[in-house]
Amino acid sequence: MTKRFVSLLLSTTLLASPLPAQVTTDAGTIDPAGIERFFNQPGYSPYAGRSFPSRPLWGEQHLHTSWSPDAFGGGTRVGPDDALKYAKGAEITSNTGQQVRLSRPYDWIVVADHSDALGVVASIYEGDPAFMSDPTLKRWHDEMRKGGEAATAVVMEMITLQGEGRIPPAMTDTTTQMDMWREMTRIVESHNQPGIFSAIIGYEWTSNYGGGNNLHRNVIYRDGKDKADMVRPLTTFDTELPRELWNWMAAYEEETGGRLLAIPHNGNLSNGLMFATETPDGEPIDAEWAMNRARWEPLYEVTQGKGTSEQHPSLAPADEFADFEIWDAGNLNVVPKEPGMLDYEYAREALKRGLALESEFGTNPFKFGLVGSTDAHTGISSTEENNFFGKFPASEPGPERSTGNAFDFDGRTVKDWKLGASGLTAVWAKENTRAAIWDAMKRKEVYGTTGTRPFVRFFGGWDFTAEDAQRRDPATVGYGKGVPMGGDLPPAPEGAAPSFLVAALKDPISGNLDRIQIVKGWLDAGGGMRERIYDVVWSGDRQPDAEGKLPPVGNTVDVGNATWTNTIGAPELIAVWQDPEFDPAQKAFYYARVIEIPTPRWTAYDAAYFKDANFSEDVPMTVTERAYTSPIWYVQND
Amino acid sequence: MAGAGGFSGTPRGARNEKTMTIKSIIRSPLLHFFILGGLVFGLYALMNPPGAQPPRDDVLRFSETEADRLADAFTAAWGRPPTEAEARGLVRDWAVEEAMVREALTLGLDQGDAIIRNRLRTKMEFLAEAPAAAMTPDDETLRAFYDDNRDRYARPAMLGFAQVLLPEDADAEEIDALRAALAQGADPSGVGQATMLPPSMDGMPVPAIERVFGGGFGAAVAALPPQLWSGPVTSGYGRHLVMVQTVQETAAPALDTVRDRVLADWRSEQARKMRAAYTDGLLRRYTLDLPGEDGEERP
Repeated sequence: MTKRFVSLLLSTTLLASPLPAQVTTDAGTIDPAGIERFFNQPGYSPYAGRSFPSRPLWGEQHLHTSWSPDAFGGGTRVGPDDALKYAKGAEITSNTGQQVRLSRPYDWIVVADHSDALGVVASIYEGDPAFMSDPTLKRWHDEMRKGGEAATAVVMEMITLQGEGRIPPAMTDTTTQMDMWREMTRIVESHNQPGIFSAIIGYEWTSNYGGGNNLHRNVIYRDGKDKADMVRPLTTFDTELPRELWNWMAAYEEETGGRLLAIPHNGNLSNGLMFATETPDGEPIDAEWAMNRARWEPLYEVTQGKGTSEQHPSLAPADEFADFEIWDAGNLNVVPKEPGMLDYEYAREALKRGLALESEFGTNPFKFGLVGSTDAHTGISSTEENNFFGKFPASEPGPERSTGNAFDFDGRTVKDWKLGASGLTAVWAKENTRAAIWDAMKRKEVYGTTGTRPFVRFFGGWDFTAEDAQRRDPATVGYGKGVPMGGDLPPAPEGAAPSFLVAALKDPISGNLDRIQIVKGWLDAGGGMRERIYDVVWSGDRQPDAEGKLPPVGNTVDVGNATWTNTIGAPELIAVWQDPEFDPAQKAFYYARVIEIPTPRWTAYDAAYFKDANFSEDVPMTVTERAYTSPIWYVQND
Repeated sequence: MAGAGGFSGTPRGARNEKTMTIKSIIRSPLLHFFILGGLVFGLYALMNPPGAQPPRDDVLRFSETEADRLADAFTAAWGRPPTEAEARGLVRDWAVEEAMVREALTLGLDQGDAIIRNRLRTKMEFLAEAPAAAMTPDDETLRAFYDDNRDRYARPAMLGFAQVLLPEDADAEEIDALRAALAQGADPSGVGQATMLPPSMDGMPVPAIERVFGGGFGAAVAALPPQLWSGPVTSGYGRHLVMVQTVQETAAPALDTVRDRVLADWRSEQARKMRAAYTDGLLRRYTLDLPGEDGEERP
């Protein structure tokens, strides 16, 4: 017992490295250990002077509310105010009258509705001079300002006059419409609590170029209402071309001194356009295009409710985890795909192609980090399998969603059960403010998950050693010796191969971890796009087989009861891995993929809960949640 | 399917005087041709009435207000007035939209369209609650609202503690020994199962603790006696020995320090009330006629 106890006490003690030899000089004997005391020696307190974040900030950048036309068309009644309250942890009533609450609040969120004109009332109470010449409107303005019953009386009077066809003409004049944008930014501003919760301003620019080809982008503001209100958000009536969105972003920054970035999503529904090497209107891309894409679009939404776009299984037959929540029937209008389209829709292919395009244009246009979000159109951001509130009110919990259609275009359908309870974004920001979160997004120090909240660190450098994986605080050594996710490796020392420190801690309320993988993509000597996936650390004492394939972790899911146990897998994994096949002449990127053990999918929870649910045999009932870090790039030394 | 149905955004940006370009377009030969063309067709329609149908209005009247609106909307987005080519494009697009909408209305395409009906309903709801955004309560009202919702603004109780994760198979004897060692001053960051979980947390609210350790952990730690190595307490990662180091009770902030939040919440509650009052008032004005019933019924 005592012996066991001692070994327990020592279980984390670092291996002491042998001391370098002493050197004798004219000044006496120099003991290197004595000198090192004064150089590069961290202070005693491991937390003092620490300038890196100790935990990631969780949120999502892609939630629609009743203010999005297709959302309210689908019956969504939850507006931005309720959506933000919910994100902060409040219980709200869903669009179908069900109470709903997050397991844990978010740290930040972007409500990404469309900006649009809805009415004139706000212009009246704001005292817009265009209205104040009408005596009735002037009186209404004054009464509204009084508030309370006086304001309610105004509304009732409006209804009465409207019923009698005597509404003041100025009110029905279509040329005087208010700016919903200013109302949206007001609501978002009212929920922003720096240090506690960041309500970030944003909107979705929804280009469906050519009919349902998804080129959507979420535009994310670093700024507050004061700047955001200075420029009208771009609509697809202004343009459907991404390069013109970038021009608009540049114009915004010039006009306001603010900052913007854009996050594309659903390449899987773009029918070959998202990462194409020509523009949607048929021009070949060029150096300027590459520069602008890299500048304005540092991130890509790799997983969300309408499928995961990391990699298509047909493009990576060796990747046993690629076949995950795939939507490949067609585009947004379920127009079927043609051969070759898949090559330009998935993140990993684009990251590889970016390396090749960099050689051609001098800039890598597809040098992006990875995030996840929901794209829910319910005002309710839900990514947990046992708390999934669907994409539209029709796919909120209920037996109907076991057989319903999420999309139906002239009989070309996608079933509701295909919807994924995904995804979330973790941001390594130093503080919870809009600016700090935006800055971390800009430098790509973020990772995406399929909805759970594992803690993931990923650093790349040239001299990580096995001992670095013994530490309890990987960030200290990670930032000290390397670059975090989203960065470029420092210039390569002669003859070295890059090494990576990767660590993950499970989501405390989700499944244990199966393994951590590092995905490498590179250009071979002939310029060919290559990829390889390495299992770098895994749970238990599994041994890879002769082909190097690691046996599966197993499965504890009881589908009938929608339960599982954490009797397999590991609560945390950490490793240092060095690229065994590194060639300094070949451009490459590396990202980490953290795989959880199988847990019940939302469909299993539904089947267990709703007596009348009627899922067909082919509906998946388990899911392997995962996290994707932003890559670290090896940029060739020229 | 984000915004698959497009919608026209015509928000008003800041007023801008630079509308000369578009106004010059109004005087441009192209537009004259365009409007003249419309007039010719209009005239043709008037001279040749198609049967008993009322004469169609085939003139697209591009007013100066319309020109201003297009120019303003463009300037608000791009920070500059449109060039001549862009202005021509805007006018053409306006004409296309106007003509399409008229034809659609003639064909009755607005009837029974769920999107349009929902849109109108949303506009009405918005109209109902919009005044709330401009309402400013007096201090007494705001204080009363704050008092009624004090819990919402209170700073939660905060705990500071140190923890040691136990090896999965540690038995009671081993745990007791470890607890004794800790009580005698063993460094908590050097014992137990190696983990990346933080060895200590200073002054964190219970919900924040649970986001790191999992549900129930914060509440369990809050119940422990201070300054004593206690437990095991179970988290999402396993069992822990825990010593509570600091406890700060919940505290309500002064109204003035959270005034903006309280005001925003008060307004959002007013908006909710106004929408409900509006909906009720509206329904009172209508009679619901249900099939198979003798009398009429108030909804």
